[in-house]
Amino acid sequence: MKKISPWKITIIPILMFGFGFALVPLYDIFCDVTGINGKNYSVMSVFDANAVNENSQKIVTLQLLADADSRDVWQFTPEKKRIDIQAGKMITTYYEITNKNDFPVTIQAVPSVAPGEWAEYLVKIECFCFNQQTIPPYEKIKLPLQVTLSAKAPEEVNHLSLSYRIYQSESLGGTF
Amino acid sequence: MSQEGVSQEMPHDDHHHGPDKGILRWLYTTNHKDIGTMYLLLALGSLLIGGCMAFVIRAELFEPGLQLVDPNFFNQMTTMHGLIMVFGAIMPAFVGLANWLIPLMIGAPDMALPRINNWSFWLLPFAFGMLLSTLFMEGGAPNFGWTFYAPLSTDYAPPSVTFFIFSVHIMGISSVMGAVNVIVTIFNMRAPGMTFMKMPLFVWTWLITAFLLIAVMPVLAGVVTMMLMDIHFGTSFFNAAGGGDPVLFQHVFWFFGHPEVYIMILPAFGIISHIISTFSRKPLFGYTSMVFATSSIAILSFIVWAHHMFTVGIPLAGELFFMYSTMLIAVPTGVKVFNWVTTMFRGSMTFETPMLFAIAFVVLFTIGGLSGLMLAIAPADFQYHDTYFVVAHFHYVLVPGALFSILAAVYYWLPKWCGRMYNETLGKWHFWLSFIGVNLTFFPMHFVGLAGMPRRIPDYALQFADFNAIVSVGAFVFGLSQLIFVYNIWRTTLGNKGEKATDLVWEKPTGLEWTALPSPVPYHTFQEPPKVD
Repeated sequence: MKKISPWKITIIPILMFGFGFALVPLYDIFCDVTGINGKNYSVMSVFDANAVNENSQKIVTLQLLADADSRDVWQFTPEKKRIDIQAGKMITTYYEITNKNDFPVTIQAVPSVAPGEWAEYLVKIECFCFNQQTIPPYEKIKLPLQVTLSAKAPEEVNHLSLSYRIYQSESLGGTF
Repeated sequence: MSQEGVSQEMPHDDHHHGPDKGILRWLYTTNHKDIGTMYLLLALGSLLIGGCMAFVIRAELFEPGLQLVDPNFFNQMTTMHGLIMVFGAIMPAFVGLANWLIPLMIGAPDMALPRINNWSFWLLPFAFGMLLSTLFMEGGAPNFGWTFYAPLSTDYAPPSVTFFIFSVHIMGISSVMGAVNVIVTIFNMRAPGMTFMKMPLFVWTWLITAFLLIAVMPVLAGVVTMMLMDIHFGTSFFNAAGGGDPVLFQHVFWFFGHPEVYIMILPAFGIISHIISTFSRKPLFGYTSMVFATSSIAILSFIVWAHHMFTVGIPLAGELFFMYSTMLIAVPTGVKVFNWVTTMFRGSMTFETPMLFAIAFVVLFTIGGLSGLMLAIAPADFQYHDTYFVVAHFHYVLVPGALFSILAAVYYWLPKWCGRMYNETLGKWHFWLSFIGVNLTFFPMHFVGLAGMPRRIPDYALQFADFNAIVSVGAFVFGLSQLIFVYNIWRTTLGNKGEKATDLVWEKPTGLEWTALPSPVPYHTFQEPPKVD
């Protein structure tokens, strides 16, 4: 009878422990390739955006949403709740945010696009979510956003929603 | 079998000693029977503690409104009830049965790694002691549900979550070591002539379960480690602010979680196959198909996890894939149910307590399987998700499924272990009260679930009041009737009551533990391997 060694069997749980952690990058790659997590929006420079096909007449409504957090301490709102975007045409809009504290705070906005599978057709040229933003005490500031529609957007794309959630940067890393 | 005489002449050779005296016997033991007993007692203790938590839950839900406990404590109870029952009752009970039965069934003198075996067990009281101690900590015990979804279990968790994480680590190490032990024992220590396709089904199902354990318990350890790092070391695995993703938590958790539910049911399939065959007085119908069905279920369990997450927003192709792959599991499971029913068909059946539990298992587990099929239908799941329908479903597969199989196994093998018959009348009372109690508890949950009653909520809308009152009464009947079981076991073992069991115990059972060993089984068995033809 062929014997097996317990040490050899132990390799399996060790590898599977690693596999659990490998799922993290695998998940990001999978979402990136399939474009399913509402994260796969394109980022372009102004130059690239102008270079895309300008002949497309397609207009798509983009809904802008703000999701500060359950306590809404930010008074975080989009200037316009919906805008029409067209391929090749750049639209600049703003979100407003207020710091009600007596000290400056640094925030990070995290975007999400729905429906996720169309996220790649939303092209961002400039977004306040690319960097952290510092707001002086008791001040209301405008956060700029420049978007356009990808010329590659197929006919069935008829609406897009872009939402942001605000996190205070001290909370990055998940302390409670 | 006759080693006592030898030991008196050679006191320095502790190989042939009987057990140590007193508490040290249990601390130092490397004997698979002692360790099996300790696992089973730990499981019984957990069952009673988890049952008390269920009592708190059902007492609160007896009528609408908040009356007994505050919502936060209610959440702690649902969380701890789930964790204790899954990791503290069902899993250790199956490991205990594996310890007792696998060496006896394959003709081995003990488990392959006896000291590891001792350590695997003794980790558990500390793991569960730590888990239970969180109830007395500031901020209370974990209150985020046994599935501990991030960010509930990270950003919004009570500080005791760290103790929960370490206790999961410890019990995970224990499970993995136990599983490695089972695999090595089955591969290396079978009696000559015991080929793989001659192994009893309980051994087969445990072998497959052990592979599931070593494959997914480390993933669970990984996911709680990520939580730990998110909470204390500034990483952002599940924190959207730092670029992580809470949905990732659910993927990793259910990649562990779905195989886990088969870890809790595959050994039951083995037990039920033995009992139905014995009391139908027929060999099991379709042994080979049972082996292949069990393996198929185990393999499929790795590709169905996202059916727990149909509502998180996975794309249509994903919903369809996970819906169909889930439904595919009904095929091997159906094969098993067919085989059990066909084994009983035209058998000369008798209805001793283990058989009653086994038949109830087949009927009620199938109900749980069918509600599982309903939940697998992705479009319908949007209605059922997180309602009492889900609670009904998994309690039907875990209570009259896994738990009934464990009770059946204890009644079935107890006379062999301790040499006395349990009291059949008490056993029948236990069975019928449990059967009625279980159905009274969990069947109405289907109705309130379909009508939209959410799970894990301490209060509910008035239209659910009548059914909830019935459910609570059923839960108390079921819970209290387990005391009959405890008493029956106590009077048979420590109480030394009950008639002496014969060596075969039942009428012509098959398997080495019945045919090659006396009742009660001696402390050391199969030091000379038996011959298997």
